Amino acid sequence: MTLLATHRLSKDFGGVHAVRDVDLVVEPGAITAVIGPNGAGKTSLFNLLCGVLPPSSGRISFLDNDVTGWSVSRIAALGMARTFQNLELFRGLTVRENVQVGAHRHLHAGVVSAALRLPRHGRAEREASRRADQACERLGLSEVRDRLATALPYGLQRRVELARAVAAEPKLLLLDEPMAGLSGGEAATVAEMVSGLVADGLTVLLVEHHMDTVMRVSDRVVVMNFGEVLADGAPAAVQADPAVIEAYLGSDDEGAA
Amino acid sequence: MSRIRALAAGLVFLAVGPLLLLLAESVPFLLASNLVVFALFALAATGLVLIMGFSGQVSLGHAAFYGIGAYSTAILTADAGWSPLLALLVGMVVSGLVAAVLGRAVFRLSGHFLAMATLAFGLFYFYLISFLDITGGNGGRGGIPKLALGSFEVLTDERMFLLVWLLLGLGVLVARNVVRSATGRALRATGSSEVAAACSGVNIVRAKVGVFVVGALYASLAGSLYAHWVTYIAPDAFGLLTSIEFLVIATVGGLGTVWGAVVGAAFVVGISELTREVVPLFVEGATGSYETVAYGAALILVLVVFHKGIADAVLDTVRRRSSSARVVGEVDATPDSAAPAETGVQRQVR
Repeated sequence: MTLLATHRLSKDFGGVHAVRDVDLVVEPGAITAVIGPNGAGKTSLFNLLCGVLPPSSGRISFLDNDVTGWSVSRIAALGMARTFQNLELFRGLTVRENVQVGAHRHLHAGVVSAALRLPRHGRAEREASRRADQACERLGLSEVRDRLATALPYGLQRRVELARAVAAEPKLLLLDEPMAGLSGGEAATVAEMVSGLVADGLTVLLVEHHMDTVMRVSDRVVVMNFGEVLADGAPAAVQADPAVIEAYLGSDDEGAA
Repeated sequence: MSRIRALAAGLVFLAVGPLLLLLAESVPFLLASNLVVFALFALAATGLVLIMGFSGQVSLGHAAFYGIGAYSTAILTADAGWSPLLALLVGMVVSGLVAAVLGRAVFRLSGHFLAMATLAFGLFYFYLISFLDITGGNGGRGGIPKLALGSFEVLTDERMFLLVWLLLGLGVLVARNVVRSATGRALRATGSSEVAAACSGVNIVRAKVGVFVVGALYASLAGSLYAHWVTYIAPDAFGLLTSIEFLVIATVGGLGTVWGAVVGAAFVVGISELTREVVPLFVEGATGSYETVAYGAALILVLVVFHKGIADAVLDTVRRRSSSARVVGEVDATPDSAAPAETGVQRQVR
């Protein structure tokens, strides 16, 4: 079964083709990395997939649903979670509360049951706490659970973002540069944690600049340039692809001209 | 722990009601009727604190829901002969439905547009009740019975105050429950990062509409109680000025806590009675305008000093005291390299 598939997905900003005719297929249970130079359209692609940006044309299918044009929260509720390149933690909420919001799609209790403290509300809160504590533990955040998320050191904030997405127990997890700004040691820890999650059956779509990490952890690499897919395949094959080398280093022809 | 604290707060709250009545008897310018107004305004504005404080929306039409409650019970009890209790509940249902429809329409807007939309709704409602025959038009309508629970009739201001005070306590409790729930958390999250909340599966419009409806129920309940208390209502009590008064109460009290409206209403009603009493002592032949000026100056002063509201400032002080002691203890216990840099952190935890 295909988890996610896009068909000729495109996004124009004025005259700029940020994403152009992208056909991307994600199979379950693996890490697929999307790489490419700055401005290649990676983050735009992510924003299209999770519904933050409406596509200019093309279709997106997720878990056998045509989710093109769905609202962000509806796509998330179906089982897509993401992290953000520039952290989007909730200010004023503790680590635990941040992660509890991540589990929102599993909570089925509205304002009324909360206001009257009906049993339904109690069940939902226990569920939220259980899921949040589990995710915090997975990402080594149990110690700082009751701290304000935005007051943590940067490296831990990155992990809170990850924990929040993991708490959703998503079918597909989009990671937008989860190691940006991390030291070598911290980046290795995060890479290890992500690998552990995938080993447990999570499917990850990853945008990342740490090239050696990408090549090491990914099962498949998609290379983008100028909004288009340039290459798609196993890490070693993509690394050897002349078109990829050209996009990253520039070709001799171009230099001569 | 939080349950014990809530129980203690509840008991203190219940004790304060009769104490306020005693206070009213000994303070010359404070009447039991002032206390009823205070409690009614606090109840209505608690709904606004929920709407504004926890979903970050501005409502300039809150008095319309106060009015829907008042006119619903007025018409149903005086014309149709219903029992006040039933009429009051029907009023809440009507208010909730109107809030749901309005919320669906306006919560796609934000900032000034939202303020304008709620303002327009408030004005629309005001003109509607000023023209319709069933509401008595500009002249208003009377003949509304006093509240009665079985054979117990709420005839005096003292009884009325105790009843509203009790309902206010329940109202604050419900508000607290809403804030401390998945919806409350989701709304606080939305206030910080709308995109991250949506990507977590939070249906933002639905959460905002939900709180807007709950907030409208408070105003409706307060409006119904008001109608049964004064037994005669006219449009002026439900216009823009009342909406602004609710807004002032919520803001002065503090939008960050469910006690905000209680503190705010005490302050606003207290200051307005106090200036009415005190200003003529200093200014010979002072009329209404002098009081209004003094009242306005006092409000500005409070907002300058406590820009997050009085209740927030008080709670902040209490928390800072109790948590700075805890932080010191923790740093001693964990000689972790990261700890000293983070000592300030826990003080902000709410």
